[in-house]
Amino acid sequence: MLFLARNGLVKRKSGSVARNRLKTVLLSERLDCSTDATIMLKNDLVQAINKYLPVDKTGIQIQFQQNPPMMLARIPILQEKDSRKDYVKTV
Amino acid sequence: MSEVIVVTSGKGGVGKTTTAANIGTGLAMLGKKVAVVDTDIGLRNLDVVMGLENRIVYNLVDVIYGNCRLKQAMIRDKRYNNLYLLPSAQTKDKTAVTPEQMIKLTEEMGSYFEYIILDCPAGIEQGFKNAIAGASRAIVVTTPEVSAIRDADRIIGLLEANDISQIELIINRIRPDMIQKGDMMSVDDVIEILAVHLLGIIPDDQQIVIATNQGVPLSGKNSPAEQGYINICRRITGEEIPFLNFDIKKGIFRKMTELFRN
Repeated sequence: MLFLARNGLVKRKSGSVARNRLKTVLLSERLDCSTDATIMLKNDLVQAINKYLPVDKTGIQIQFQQNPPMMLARIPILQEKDSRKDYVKTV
Repeated sequence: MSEVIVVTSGKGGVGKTTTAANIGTGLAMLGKKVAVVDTDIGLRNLDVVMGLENRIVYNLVDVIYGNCRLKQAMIRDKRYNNLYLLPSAQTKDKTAVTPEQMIKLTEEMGSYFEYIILDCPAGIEQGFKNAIAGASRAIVVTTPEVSAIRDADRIIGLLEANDISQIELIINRIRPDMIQKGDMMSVDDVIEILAVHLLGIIPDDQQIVIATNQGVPLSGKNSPAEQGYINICRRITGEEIPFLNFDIKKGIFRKMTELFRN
């Protein structure tokens, strides 16, 4: 099913499309830098951590809070044997 | 003693004026002394939504310029004698008033009313700055659409920057059937994105159009949207009221298709 969704064979519902688009837009607006830059920032962060620890790329959440200004990253790390147990790391 | 609440949204057409009229009326129904103030100078509308357009003699700008006393400009509601409207001027524009003058006005009104509801104009310019100047509390109205939520996020940032600490959210025009199908962002989605306290949810409801046509807010009593507004008013006064539940009963077919979809 995931395979079909990734290749656009199964249409994603418009509600979740809207949610994800908004998240990206607001992320860049709160930071005051372009959408592309925030996506690159996110990718760089993941790559940097991935050098040392295996990261579960599907479960990454990055949020910006305004008051006090802070970036919160929730990056689940894959464990060697049971693969999807989360560790929460706040940057 | 009095609470000054600004109803704002950033984007136009999401239901600020309707919300201000319904909250004003709802609080008056609960027995509070309430004033609703239209701060949208040049584009006044709260008077027609409240059905008081024929009674206007003086307006907000007249009061601020000293052309009349506050009591002369306040219009008493047709049904509730503890509810008053201060209409906006139609011939001036937003630059006719300054934030300092608005603070002075709300302070003067505070000695007569328990709740002062300010209907804010759309946008983030002078009119917005005037409206929030005297407010201690803000209600941000949004709909579950990308444009409205994006603007709401910007407004929340501006309110925080202006030291308005109590910011609450109303999500308007919810369509439970569309959320069920996955074609509308859910209440939880919106709260997660905006990260702000939820004051209430208002379903999309024909009765609101009918009530606005008639100029009689909260006239249908038990329609879902009006129930939502009454709940919001109770929460404003400090009561704890559970949120409306829109769960549509799922048939076996819907359950099966969702199972496969996931």
